[in-house]
Amino acid sequence: MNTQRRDFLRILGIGGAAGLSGCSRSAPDALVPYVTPPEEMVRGRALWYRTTCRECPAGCGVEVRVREGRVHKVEGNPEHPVNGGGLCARGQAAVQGLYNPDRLRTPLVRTGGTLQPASWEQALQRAMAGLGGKKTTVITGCETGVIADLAAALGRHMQFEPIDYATLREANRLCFGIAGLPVLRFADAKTILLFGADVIETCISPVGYARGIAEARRAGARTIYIGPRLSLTGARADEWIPVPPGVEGFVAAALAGDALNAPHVGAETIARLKRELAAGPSLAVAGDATGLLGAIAVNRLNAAAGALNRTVRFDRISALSKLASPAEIDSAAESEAVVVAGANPAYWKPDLLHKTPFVLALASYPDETTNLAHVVLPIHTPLESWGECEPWTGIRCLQQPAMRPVFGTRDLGDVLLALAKSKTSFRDYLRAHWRESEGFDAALQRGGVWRDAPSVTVTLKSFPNAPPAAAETGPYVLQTYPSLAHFDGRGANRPWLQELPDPITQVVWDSWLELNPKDAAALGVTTGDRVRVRSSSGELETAAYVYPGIVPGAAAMPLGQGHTAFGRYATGVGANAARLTGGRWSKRVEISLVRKARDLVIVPGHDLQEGRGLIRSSDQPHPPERPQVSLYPPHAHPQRRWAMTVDLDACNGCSACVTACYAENNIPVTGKEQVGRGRLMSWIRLERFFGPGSQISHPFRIDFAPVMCQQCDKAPCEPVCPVYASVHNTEGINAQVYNRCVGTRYCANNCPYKQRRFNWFPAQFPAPLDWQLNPDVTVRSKGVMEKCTFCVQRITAARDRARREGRPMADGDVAPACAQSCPTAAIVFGDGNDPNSRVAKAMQNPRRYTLLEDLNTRPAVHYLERERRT
Amino acid sequence: MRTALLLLALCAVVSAADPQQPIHFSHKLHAGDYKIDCQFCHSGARRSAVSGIPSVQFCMGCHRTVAALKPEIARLRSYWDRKAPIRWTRIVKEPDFVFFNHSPHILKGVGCLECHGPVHTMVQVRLDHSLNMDRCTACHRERRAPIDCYTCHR
Repeated sequence: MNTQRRDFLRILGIGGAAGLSGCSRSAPDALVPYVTPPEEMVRGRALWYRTTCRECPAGCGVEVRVREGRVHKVEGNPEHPVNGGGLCARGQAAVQGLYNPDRLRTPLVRTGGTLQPASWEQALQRAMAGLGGKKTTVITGCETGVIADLAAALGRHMQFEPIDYATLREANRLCFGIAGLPVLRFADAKTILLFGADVIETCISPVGYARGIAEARRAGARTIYIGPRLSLTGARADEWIPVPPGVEGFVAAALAGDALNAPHVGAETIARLKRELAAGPSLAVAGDATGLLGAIAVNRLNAAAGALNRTVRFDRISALSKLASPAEIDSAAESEAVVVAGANPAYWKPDLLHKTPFVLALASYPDETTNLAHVVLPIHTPLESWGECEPWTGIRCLQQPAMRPVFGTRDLGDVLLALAKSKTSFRDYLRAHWRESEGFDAALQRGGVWRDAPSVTVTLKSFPNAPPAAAETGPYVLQTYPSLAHFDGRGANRPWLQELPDPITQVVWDSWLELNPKDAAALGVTTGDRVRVRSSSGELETAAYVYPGIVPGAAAMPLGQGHTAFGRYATGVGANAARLTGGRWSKRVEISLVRKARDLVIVPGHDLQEGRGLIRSSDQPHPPERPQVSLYPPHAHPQRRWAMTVDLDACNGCSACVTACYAENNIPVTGKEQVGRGRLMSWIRLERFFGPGSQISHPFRIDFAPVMCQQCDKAPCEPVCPVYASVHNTEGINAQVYNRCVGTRYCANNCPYKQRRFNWFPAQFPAPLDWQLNPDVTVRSKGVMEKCTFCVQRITAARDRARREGRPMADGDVAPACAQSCPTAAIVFGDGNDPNSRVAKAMQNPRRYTLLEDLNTRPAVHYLERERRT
Repeated sequence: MRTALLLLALCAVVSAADPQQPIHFSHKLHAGDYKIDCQFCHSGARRSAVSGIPSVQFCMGCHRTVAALKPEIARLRSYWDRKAPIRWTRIVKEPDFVFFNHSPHILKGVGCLECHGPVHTMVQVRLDHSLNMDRCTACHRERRAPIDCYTCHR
């Protein structure tokens, strides 16, 4: 019998499919329903739990999305007074803390010099024996309410936060008699002066402050940044006044009228700023690195300019006001026993606990402190825990578990109760101690209870002059700053945060030393070279980053890297800048070149806009408009066309959108080496430039914008795809159909925005990090192109919800992850065809433009030019 | 030779589609003879993407009293007494890159049988036909439902 080629192929196809069905990669083909289903759960529908973010002491309210009993995403609680719906990158990465593959799973007990796994009973017994009757110190992070009470019941309680604002608190004690951090009402100010205060990145309550500044800017406020280094907050300001480290206070004194002039700043600048301050309500904020004299000068400026009791209000005090002083923390070493709960003092003070006879660590991850401990008890991460915190007086936030514990860990509160020999569960204890007019359950639903604050008026006191700082030697002043991604180091074991390019330097998976180009030339150093930095406290080696945004004679280094024991993602990455400064902010250092190298992985290839007008500002000429002609008619979008506007005047570059996108869309992390080869997978990148032209701008400035797929109407990616994997959908999205994609990469090569990502390798999600994956989004396989979808799964979900409720979709029903997370609501999404939608109105703004307009791609993402006010 | 090859291929398909279930549950009895609505047990279909398989507790809701002495019910009760889940063999499986959603189909009045076949006549459920994309798009075209890629793939 003659078998035709075509018949053979057909049969081979059937047989092949049948054969392959047995060796599918997917889970075993069993359906395993619940024995008894959880009462409130509908499979396939998300449940949301409100709790409080504990990734830094700001105390933002969050909503946690849970599907089938697993946490997938964390978003801001829109009703919360601190953050009002936005959430930063560190908060988004809380899920990677929960599912961190390096988490402590069992209690550990030191036997014969090493930590050995033990049962909870054994470990608790050892812990109680170790603590029994001894003079105990309990070190926690910033804690209020019942946890603080329970800690105090065990021994002397100290709240340790490395970023402690000790200078600001001391200055406020001297000036106003209150050793606390006040509420800063940015929204009410017309002129905002920031003296080295990085309020958008990490300072005290960054999401809330970013929101306040954005609100002030919408009302026409102007921001001025005074400091030695152009931080992200500085880059966001309208004007940067560069001064050497320690001179910020002199500028404040000159503005307050306490001095006639300030060194390094022209008399006309001072006069101009004085006029501006006199014109309307102002707010001056000092950073902790400004020093005590600087902070006092800023306090006096606020009093002189009428900001005190107006935009600086002591009605509420930050919880950070109760932190232990550095001297108190050092005295913990004299205790007979130390309990460390949810803090990592050994990373900051390696010698602190070395001689302590008994150290009990209550921790979620192995770190520098658990390495020194005699007994380690694994505790829940915040998303599994009960708890409360009061970030500002009167704002009491509750924490509830969003899912059952991932491992055999226990609630911190339960462990503290067990150590105090109580049989109560922490949940009952918390409920019993909830003495508010609003019931516990109602408060849980809302996220907490916010009481009105009584008005407090303070007056400026006169006081003796603060002692001058001791003179140090060394040619450079090193300033350290908490990193946007890792804060004080606690975020370093989250791979999303390691792979998040620093918004200024665009470096991933590393630490660096910023040097002025003049100093770098004198030292013979270029970006990427290894340099040795030595101070009287210690020395380290790191990579150099030549940064025009730092004044000559100063150097800067981010904190948070250089862990010696903090899991696979953090250990051995970069260097720990705290070793140089001994926990203070700045120090004189010597810098020397070790060897020429190209060690840093820096994401973008180019720092300059070359006059193409990519990221526009009001003070720059626009490139000439060209007529946009096309031989082809535009696509018909009969129902709606999804569109997005990004207001560059509101965008802070905080990169929360980038991490939110990772969480929502199952984007894999590829690691330092692959990012170095240009294989970063993020669907949004924060594009930043050091100048609009072909030269680094002078005076120095940074322009930035988040760039995602622009969803072009005339998309260059579409016609080049040989298999129709890249297609224009009826609602104006460039759909990427993964199951059609064969990986030619033509689309990415033809994309002028470079916002398509190719999977060179199978995505790695080491267990249990894979539990985080969003079940509504495909996990792309190797050889497939991927890109921003405008969060099509959220569009679909909103459409289904509207259909179930029997109504048409309304404006605001859909918020992509980036728009939802944005602390300043810079991103607006909606139907561009509906003239009444918020996005259509934003598109009518005269500041509107599109990226690379001259290519005639007609994007659905529109940018609103940034205003630089003079 | 051609016929032989075809037969071989068909055998493979049929054997894969004739599954063994841990409990001899009859859809013919429940949905056919007693005319219990599909959504009485698969209650997620109306509300969510997945129709859902009833929990052991749900089965026991009736079978605590109904037909309690029959051997297959005794088997069900043993799962309940042990608080053990039942591992049913999956019949309908969609690929990872397909996101079928039951709820809009049910709300638009598409009957369960249109995709799942005459389940009410089957003692043991099997899938007689392929649930490939061709079948989806044919029906979507006929009913003027969207055939945008993003309707199902994302």
